[in-house]
Amino acid sequence: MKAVGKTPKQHEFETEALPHADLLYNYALRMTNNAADADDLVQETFLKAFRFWDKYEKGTNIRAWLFRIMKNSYINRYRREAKEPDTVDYEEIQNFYNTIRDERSDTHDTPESAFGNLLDDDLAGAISALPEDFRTVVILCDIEGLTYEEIAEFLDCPLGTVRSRLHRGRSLLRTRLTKYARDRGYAVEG
Amino acid sequence: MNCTEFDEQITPAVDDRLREDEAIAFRDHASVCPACRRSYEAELSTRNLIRQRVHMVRTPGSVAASIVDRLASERTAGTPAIFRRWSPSVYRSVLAVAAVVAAVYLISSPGFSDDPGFPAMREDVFAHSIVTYAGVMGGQMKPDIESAHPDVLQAFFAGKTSFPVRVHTVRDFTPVGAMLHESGGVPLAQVLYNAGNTTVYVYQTCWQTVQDGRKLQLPTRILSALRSGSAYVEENADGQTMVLWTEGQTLCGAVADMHTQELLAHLDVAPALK
Ligand SMILES: [Zn+2]
Repeated sequence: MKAVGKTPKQHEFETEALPHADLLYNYALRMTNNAADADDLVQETFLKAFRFWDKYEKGTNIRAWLFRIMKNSYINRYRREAKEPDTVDYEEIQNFYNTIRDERSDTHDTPESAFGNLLDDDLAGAISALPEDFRTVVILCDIEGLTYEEIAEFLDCPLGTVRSRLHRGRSLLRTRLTKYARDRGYAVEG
Repeated sequence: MNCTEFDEQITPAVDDRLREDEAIAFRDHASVCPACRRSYEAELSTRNLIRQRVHMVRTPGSVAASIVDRLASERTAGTPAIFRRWSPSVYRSVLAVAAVVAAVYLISSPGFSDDPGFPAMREDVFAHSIVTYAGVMGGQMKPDIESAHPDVLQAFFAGKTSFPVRVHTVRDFTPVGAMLHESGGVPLAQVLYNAGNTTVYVYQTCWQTVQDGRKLQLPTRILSALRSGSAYVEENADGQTMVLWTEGQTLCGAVADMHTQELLAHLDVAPALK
């Protein structure tokens, strides 16, 4: 809107909240898997945050506050219309674990070079296929580089939960990536 | 350390979060238990693969710019304003008008309809115009120009928009002011009319841009009515009415706290009504 100066609230918000746009945008992008949806989600999050700026307690973790607003927006907006997220295939993980732990198996060590051949789309696909809870911690930790402590604050959960979700999330990722590598014929054994 | 305990420490080990004594016990177990060692290496290489290959991206500049732009229009909404220039009854009517607009808007946005605190955030023509309207009426945002002379207001818009803007005649009402804002980068021309405590708000924007739907949007049922050449009229249970119609390249909308027939009697949109 033109010809109107910025209010102190607006100035404060732009200084304190907007610098965290990348944190939100990358999360949105990986959750929606779609740039246009990520744009919308980030904009919606900031507008909501602005409306409720007086509810933000100064000095508390603003990133966690913004993140929760975005997570709620995401849930309201996408979860109802989205297909049920992939159910966690614990059996798949377990089989994989048994395989990887079995030294007599030829498939235990998918060569790292096989993963090196994977396409960026494979990686993005494997991440987006993760169930939401696991995807969230993998995005925040391994893509956005947040600490366990900050993730725990974002999700309002114990550190142990962050750790175990990360463990499961990475295992699931590994399983998917191994499958992709095999499908593409990169791995030694099929 | 047994294999179960080892498994629980794989993730913190990968992320280098073990205390020194824990790290020693962890390495001891790994050195004697190949299965556990492979589990650790598998998670480490997966984590490294993601870190090396999947990068953060920058938020597109257009998104940041749009947020800043929208904060400016947001700030007039929701705050109990200082009503310097208008009587309380006018304010009530503004709220009533805002309510009908919001109601229509929410109906058309099922994704948000159960989230009453947050009207949808797209660059909706209604949403934007009503926020502006409330801001002007609240005294937080002044009209760009205040005048009771239609030709003065008409001159204000001259050359500022790609679509023709017309200062309509609203029967029995006097123009009080005009302003020009942008919504989604598209000009939104607005004229206010008054008669006693009643206000009619007329806004105009680029019809082609609204149809095209990328920068500005309207609910589909309204769009299809307008495309067929009809005016679109909607009155809510409280007797508040909104009328939309097109004039060549221009989309016009009028909102007021009146019944349909009453508002139509004041407006010169007969050609578009069927
Ligand atoms: Zn072991």
